[in-house]
Amino acid sequence: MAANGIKDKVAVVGMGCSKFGERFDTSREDLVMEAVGEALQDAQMELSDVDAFWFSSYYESCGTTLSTILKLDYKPVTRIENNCCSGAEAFRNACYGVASGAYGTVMAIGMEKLKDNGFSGNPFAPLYRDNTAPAYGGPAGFSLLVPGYCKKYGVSQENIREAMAMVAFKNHSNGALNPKALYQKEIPLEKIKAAPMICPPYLTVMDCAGVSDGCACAIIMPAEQARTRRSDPMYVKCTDFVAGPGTNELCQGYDYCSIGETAHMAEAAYRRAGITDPRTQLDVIEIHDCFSITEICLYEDLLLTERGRGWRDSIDGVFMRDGKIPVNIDGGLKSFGHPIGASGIRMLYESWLQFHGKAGKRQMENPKTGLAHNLGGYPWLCVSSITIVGKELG
Amino acid sequence: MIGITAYSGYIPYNRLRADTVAADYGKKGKSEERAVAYYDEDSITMAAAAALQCLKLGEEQTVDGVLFATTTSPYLEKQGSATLAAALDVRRDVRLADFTDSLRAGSSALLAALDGAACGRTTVVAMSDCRMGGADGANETAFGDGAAAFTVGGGKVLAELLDSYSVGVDFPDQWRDRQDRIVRSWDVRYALTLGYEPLVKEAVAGFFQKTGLKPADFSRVILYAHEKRHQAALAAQLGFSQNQLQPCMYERIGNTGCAAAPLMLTAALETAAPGNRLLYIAYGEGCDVLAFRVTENNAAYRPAVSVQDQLKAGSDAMSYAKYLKWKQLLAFEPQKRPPQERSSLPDYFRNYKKNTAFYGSRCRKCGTPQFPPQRICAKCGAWDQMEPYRFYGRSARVKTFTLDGLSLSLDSPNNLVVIEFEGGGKLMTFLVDCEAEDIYVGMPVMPVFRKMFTENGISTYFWKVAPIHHGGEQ
Repeated sequence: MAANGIKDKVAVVGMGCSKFGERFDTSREDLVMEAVGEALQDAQMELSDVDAFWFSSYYESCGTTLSTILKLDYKPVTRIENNCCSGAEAFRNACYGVASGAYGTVMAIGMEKLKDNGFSGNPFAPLYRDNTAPAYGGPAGFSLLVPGYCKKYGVSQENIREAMAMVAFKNHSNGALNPKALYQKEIPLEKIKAAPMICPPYLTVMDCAGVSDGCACAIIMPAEQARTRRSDPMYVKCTDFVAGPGTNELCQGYDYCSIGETAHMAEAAYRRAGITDPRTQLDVIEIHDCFSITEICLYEDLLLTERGRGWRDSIDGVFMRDGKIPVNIDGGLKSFGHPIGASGIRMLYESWLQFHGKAGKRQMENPKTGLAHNLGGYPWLCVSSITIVGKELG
Repeated sequence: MIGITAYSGYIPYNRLRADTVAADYGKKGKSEERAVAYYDEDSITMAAAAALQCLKLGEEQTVDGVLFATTTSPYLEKQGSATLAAALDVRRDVRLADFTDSLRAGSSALLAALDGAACGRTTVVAMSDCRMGGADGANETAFGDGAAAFTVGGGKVLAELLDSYSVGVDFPDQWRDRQDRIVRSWDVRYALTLGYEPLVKEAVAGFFQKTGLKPADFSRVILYAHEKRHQAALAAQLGFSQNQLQPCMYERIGNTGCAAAPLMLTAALETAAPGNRLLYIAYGEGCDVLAFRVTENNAAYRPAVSVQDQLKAGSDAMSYAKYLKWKQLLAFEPQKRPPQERSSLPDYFRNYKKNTAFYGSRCRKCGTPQFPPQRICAKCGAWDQMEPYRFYGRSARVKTFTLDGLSLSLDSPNNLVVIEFEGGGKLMTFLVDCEAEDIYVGMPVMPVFRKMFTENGISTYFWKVAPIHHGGEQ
């Protein structure tokens, strides 16, 4: 295997995260400064200590978006866009910037201002193509998983609805404990079940992640320097990423009950990170819950349960905060919304808080490992990322 | 011998009841209905639906010309027959022409195709119309949308052309100027007494004098009329009995303009016995009379879906509001979504075989069909081992589906489906002409040529799927 990974070669020395929300009164500048200010204070650094920046955003323009806000002194800023994995990609590439020895200190920062566009949902940029592909949005695309999953595993409509409602209930219940979340209110299960359908009979509005503005950032150094800087850095175990070849879109055999790219990469990512049993060895698990059916499929794709058991485990509360394998304990995309470029780094921020005992009412007992997963695209063709971090070396 | 060698009618799935419309205006309506093109159908797609039935797979290579007759082309400047030819996948060295601006455009095109047949050419001719009457007017439900198509040439003729006779007179009774969407007309007594009756009589008399034939020589007369009641009256004046008169079907599908008489002709051919003679009379700024003799070949010929079956299929559940919406007669709430981007014409043209004739590719090495066409095989990874592979005409089943209530649509929710083709290949597209509750995983469907959207004056055509029971190849 030529891909060796970067286990324990680099570490995070400071993180910051803005409040996520419908921040109509907040500019790009405000969002960036909110997150960057927190991270610099956390790392006890000056902005001038940072040698290079990787800036992720789906909609923003080039590196000057960040350099002008921060008045950077002619520093390199690489703007990263890789769909919903943009944040994870900024983090991954920033890690390589220090792992290569090219830079001593780097920042990965993701920022997205979605609420200024006046649209509902996350509109994707137009492509100058023949436009013969049917126009559909994220909810419709991901809702194709519902009949696929039910057919494959013989799950009734009633059971899958129950399992999906539980995902939304769980994530809102977690978000209720997170002061940085867009939605900070527990929503009764009955209300979730009664939500209006947007892709009848498969997906209700409560099965969809929210839409928000937000910014999150991480300061990264080589592991050795990080250790001399602070006693409790967060070590990077793997930053895996794949872009799918599209064969699931072109060839028969794909069953519409799995995120193919994630399923394809999970085992290798765990191996690189030294995880042999993800169900017991992962503590802070943040996965891309763009839709509740996505999260159910991801339990299986990320090997957190057996194939065909995700729906049942969801109903049984396995992934609840007090369950056996808590998932999206910070509230997930469901509670945070999905400011595309920022989400991947926001997910890592939860591990950062948990490792440092700063997760407030969500605080887990001595968590040591964290996972952030993203996917960008559709279940049959996407980019997907798995980032694993640890509190300790080894 | 030259004549018609294939025929097919096309009636859209959706029917609007006249009493549904009347009720919304607080009136009592007739228990009649009209066919309504779906929001993704226009004269080109309906013509394609009919014309595709006229060619068995492989026969498209024998076609020398494609003619398109309509008074409702989506474009004032841009040839419909070119799109039709592309959808039919005929050769490039063909003659293309649009016949338009007259209700007689259908017979003009048919006559041109027959002239071509006399010179040894095989021509596909398609007639299609979707004219509109104004809201709350008689024409709103009297007009209908529909199409018919014929292959015309020598060889295995189903209906031999016996002779024809034409009269052309500048007689205006219905018209639209360049801005009009709604048909205007002069009063009906003028139209009947100075136009329809004398002009048709003149042409039919001329035909009988030329040929020596008489009404009794014909088993059926196909007689165009603006309204059903005028048809029966004139047929009697011409010396035909009610038994000879081919039903106009206006009370079921409406008057389909320049496709009306051709649709009657396809219906007549579906039941005609060998040896029967058919008299075809089209009207509009004059009159064309054509006579056909049905041959032995017609006994074995059956269109994939007959006009009779299409009359029975379909749904009359649509509301008047849907009609107004599909015809874009309402001012809509703007969507809180980015505007639809027009199609890139260079990219559309690069993918012309994919978009219009529904070509994918098949790997010569591993045999896997793929859509859209690829250069590197998605299955075995072979480079540049692809051959063209046409997906039109292949059966397919629904793999998974959803109803998309969010996306921009004139008939929300959209039925979004993933289909898998028998023999390999798959596609995500919309399922049309189907009630949402009737969709299931495993449902058999077939490709239909439709309009994805129109933006910046560019209509983007592509393939959707419909249930097997309605139109299509299978």
